[in-house]
Amino acid sequence: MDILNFSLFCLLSLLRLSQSFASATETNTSSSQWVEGTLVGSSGNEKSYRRECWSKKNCDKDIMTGSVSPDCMRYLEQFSNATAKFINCTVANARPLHYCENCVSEYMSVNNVYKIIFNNEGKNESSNCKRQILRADNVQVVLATYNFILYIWDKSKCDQCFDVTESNDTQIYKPAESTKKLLAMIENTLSCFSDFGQGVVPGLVTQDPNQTVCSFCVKLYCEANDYYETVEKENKLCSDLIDSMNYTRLDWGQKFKCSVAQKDQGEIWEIAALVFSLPILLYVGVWVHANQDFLLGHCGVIRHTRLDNAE
Amino acid sequence: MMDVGTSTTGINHSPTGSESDNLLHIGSEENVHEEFKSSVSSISRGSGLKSTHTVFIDSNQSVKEDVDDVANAVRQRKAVDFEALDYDNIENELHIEEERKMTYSDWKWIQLQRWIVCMMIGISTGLIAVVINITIMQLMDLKMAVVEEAIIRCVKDRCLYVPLLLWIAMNVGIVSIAALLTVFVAPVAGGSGIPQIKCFLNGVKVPDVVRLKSLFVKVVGVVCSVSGGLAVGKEGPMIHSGAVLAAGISQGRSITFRLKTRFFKHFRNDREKRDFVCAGAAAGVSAAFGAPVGGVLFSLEEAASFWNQALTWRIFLCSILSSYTLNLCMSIYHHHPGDMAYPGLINFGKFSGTYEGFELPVFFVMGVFGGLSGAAFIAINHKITVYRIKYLTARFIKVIEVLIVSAISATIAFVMIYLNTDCKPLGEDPNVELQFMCNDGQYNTMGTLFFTTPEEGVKSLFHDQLGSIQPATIIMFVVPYFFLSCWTYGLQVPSGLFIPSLLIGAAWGRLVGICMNAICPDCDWTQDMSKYALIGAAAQLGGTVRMTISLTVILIEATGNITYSLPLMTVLLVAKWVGDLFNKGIYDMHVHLARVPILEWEPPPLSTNIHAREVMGKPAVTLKEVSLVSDVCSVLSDPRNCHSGYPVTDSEGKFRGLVLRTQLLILLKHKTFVERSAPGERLKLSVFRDTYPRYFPLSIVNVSSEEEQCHIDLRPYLNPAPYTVYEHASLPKIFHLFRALGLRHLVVLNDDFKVVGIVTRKDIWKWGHHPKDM
Repeated sequence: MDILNFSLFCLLSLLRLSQSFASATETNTSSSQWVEGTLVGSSGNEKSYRRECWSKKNCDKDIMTGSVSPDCMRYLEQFSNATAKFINCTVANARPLHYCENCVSEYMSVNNVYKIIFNNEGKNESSNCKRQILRADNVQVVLATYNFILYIWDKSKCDQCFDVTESNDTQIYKPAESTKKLLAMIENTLSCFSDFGQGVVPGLVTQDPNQTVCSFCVKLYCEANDYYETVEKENKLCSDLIDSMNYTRLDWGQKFKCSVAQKDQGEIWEIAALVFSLPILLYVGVWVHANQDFLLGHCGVIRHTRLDNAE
Repeated sequence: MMDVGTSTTGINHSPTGSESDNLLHIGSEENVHEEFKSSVSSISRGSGLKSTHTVFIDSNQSVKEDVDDVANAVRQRKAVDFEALDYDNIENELHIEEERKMTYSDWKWIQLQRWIVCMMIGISTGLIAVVINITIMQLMDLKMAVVEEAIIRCVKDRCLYVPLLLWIAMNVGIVSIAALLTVFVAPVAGGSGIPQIKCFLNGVKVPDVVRLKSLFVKVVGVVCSVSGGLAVGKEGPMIHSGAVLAAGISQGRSITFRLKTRFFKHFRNDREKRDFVCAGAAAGVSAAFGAPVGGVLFSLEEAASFWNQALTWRIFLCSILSSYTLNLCMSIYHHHPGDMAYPGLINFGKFSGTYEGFELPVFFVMGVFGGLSGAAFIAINHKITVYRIKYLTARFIKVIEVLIVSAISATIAFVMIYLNTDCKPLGEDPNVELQFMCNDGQYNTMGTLFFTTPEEGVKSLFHDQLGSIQPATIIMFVVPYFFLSCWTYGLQVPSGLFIPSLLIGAAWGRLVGICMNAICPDCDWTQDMSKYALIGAAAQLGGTVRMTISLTVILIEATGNITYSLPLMTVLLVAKWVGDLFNKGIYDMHVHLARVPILEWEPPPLSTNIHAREVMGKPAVTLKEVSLVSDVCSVLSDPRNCHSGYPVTDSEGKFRGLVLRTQLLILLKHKTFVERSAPGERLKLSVFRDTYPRYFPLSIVNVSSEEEQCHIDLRPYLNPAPYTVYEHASLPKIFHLFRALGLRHLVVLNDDFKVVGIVTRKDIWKWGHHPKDM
């Protein structure tokens, strides 16, 4: 629940942030709403002044004179754009789930900008972007946003679909061979479904399997299914693949009714009956045996010997 | 074998008429109530086999009947099986001499050794828990992988009987190891071990309970019985394992391996050992649930009958170390070394919800239901246990019973999964994704409960989203599982009761949650199923084991959530009260059926008018300060005198002290006769320590007819200041002495300081309930 709340918060704050930036950059009229305010001088002289800006250029200048250095401000804007793009891409690719595949470049650029900010520890206060951007206030929007993006990426196990190579401090993400192959197989299967399953109305529950789809696509489907399992064993599945495969399977099973399990022919019940009769045999047998002794009148003697043995 | 701790119980052996005398002397006392008198005399007139225990054991009608039934089967065996522990320090001349030689730094060193032993106990208990945990995980994965593969293949090929047979065969195979080991190597390792440890800490020495072979059987057995698919948990046995480790480590030697070190030799007596066993039990709980404080409280509430304040802090260290050793090792195993996220064997996952004040009545009702359900569980288990004691006496029958139960467990699980038509689409992160008869892309919800370890089932019930398991599925799961676990507990395999109870409770708790949600689908407070599942689990567990404070703390620590402390406490209390209306807790029930002379928390009610002279065994067998060897031999060899302490009197018949049977045996074996040794020559204290705790029987002591005329001087060895009471002391007073000091013998003196009798633990136990109640 915490994670959900947190992510919701992040998303909202992020949207607000990106909206404001967007509005700031798009039109002149709206930009006036946003930069108006008091700025406190960085030298500690409390030289505060009030100024209104009417154009983007002016605004940038104004911010430069604030407590945050212009370099840092530029990084912040870069970060804002990168995160906005990533969120945009992810949400757009949420259904059907394909953001690992489609948003990797956005993810990388978020990471790059963040790294620059994070490693920027200038000597003096004014040029220390890490401090000014990441830890400047009690909300720490930038940090929270970045953590949220990491959370999405990790939860979706996106890294597992890529071959990550590192060469002199830069990471290169390349889609893994298995990813490409599996995606192609699933696509083929799905196109087979759409080719042969024309008459099937989604949502309509039929009892009979769709023979055309079942017979024509079974090879593709099984190949994809088997390959999926090998990839699963290698631990190279990201949500893209899991999700596509799940929905392919659901189509196969629910929409086309191709995977009707074979009911057994009664052997289970025979075995179960046999197993369930065992305790009855045991308990009744032991009970009868014990009471036989009583009937024969040797109860005392026999019981004693048995107890002795038991010890 | 010999010692019973009572002078009158010896009569059970002797088929002669002497027993009726002994019985009648109790019955003929003035203050004994009329009914009581008649019942005793009728018994003594009737079957010669019936003993007084049948009458005294319990006022509870059902228990009494059962004990009558059981009595025939178990009397001969059980009545002599249990010795009491010697907690009283024998401050004889040898002891005083040793202490005189000791310096203050020696004393400091011994104190330090206590801490060292406690640390070692904690760490080794944690390690044992790691071994158990990892082995079970691996075995379980292996087993499930094989079965799942067969299922996947056979769903297509119409051969579903193959995975069923495979599952049965594997279960039976794995469980047979546990059963054979338990039945043939260490029967005491069967069950959860909590009743046995409880008896030990109460002051009764259950044979073999803290031996190394019991530990081995317990560990291997619990791994096999859990991964063999029985409805058992691995948490209860951890407590026994910790206790055995504690008893072993604190002695600094192993008799089984003939390993002997010079360390910790001061701890070779019952008193020190008991303290360490206390620590071991706490460490076991701590490792099992990741609950260090709960472990200490468990030792305090459930186990120890008398508590040493100085012990608390040492035991706490021990439990903390145990939990963190497990934590560290598991973090390394899971490739996150140093990430302390695995405090216990069971991990309930994170609980972050809250509850509303007006839900407390709902929880209260759940507590009542938990009490009823727990009482039903105990009642059914009681019937089964009585049947087992009566009829299932042969060893091979016990093994066969275990195997049958394991086969049935597998069959029920398989059939339930097969019959279940509740399929859910994949992608909602279930723990177990077993497809079985479901369509592709779906999983069988019953599989998340049955096709896994019980722990994972508990987790699913706690944390799976609302609607992920249908109510019908839960009912189909919980009803068979209730009876299955009821049937399983008490089998001759190591088996914990916590997890099955939690699983049953979590299942019906979740049902309650689903009902609440149906009543108010849009309310905020009905969205969180984990709350109801947890409360249900607590209620069921509380209704079964009837612990309160330690269970509350254990659950709070295991769930890492303090928010639910009030509801948890409420349901545990209510469940205990409701359950207590019907029967005793399951551990007490098993202790009673095993006929262990355990002392309850309170003396028998309304018993102040019963005096020492009615309780005591008499006439007490006394020895002279300087006794003839033949006298000593005849005292020791008479089965009627098999209680292990003998008052020693001087020539005028005044009471001078108490000598233990074991001391006499050692003296006889070493032939420390007055005529054979130089004046002032004595046996060393180390001789007594080395013989502890496994003493030899009288039969291996050879005394020639010549030696029989020699004398033994008991004065340096006897305990000169044992606890005594006057014959007017009331039963509650004697009871409190026994309970608070952990006594074994209490000598009864008359007005002339003459010994008139001796009270032992069993004498008190026989008065367990006031005859008035009967």
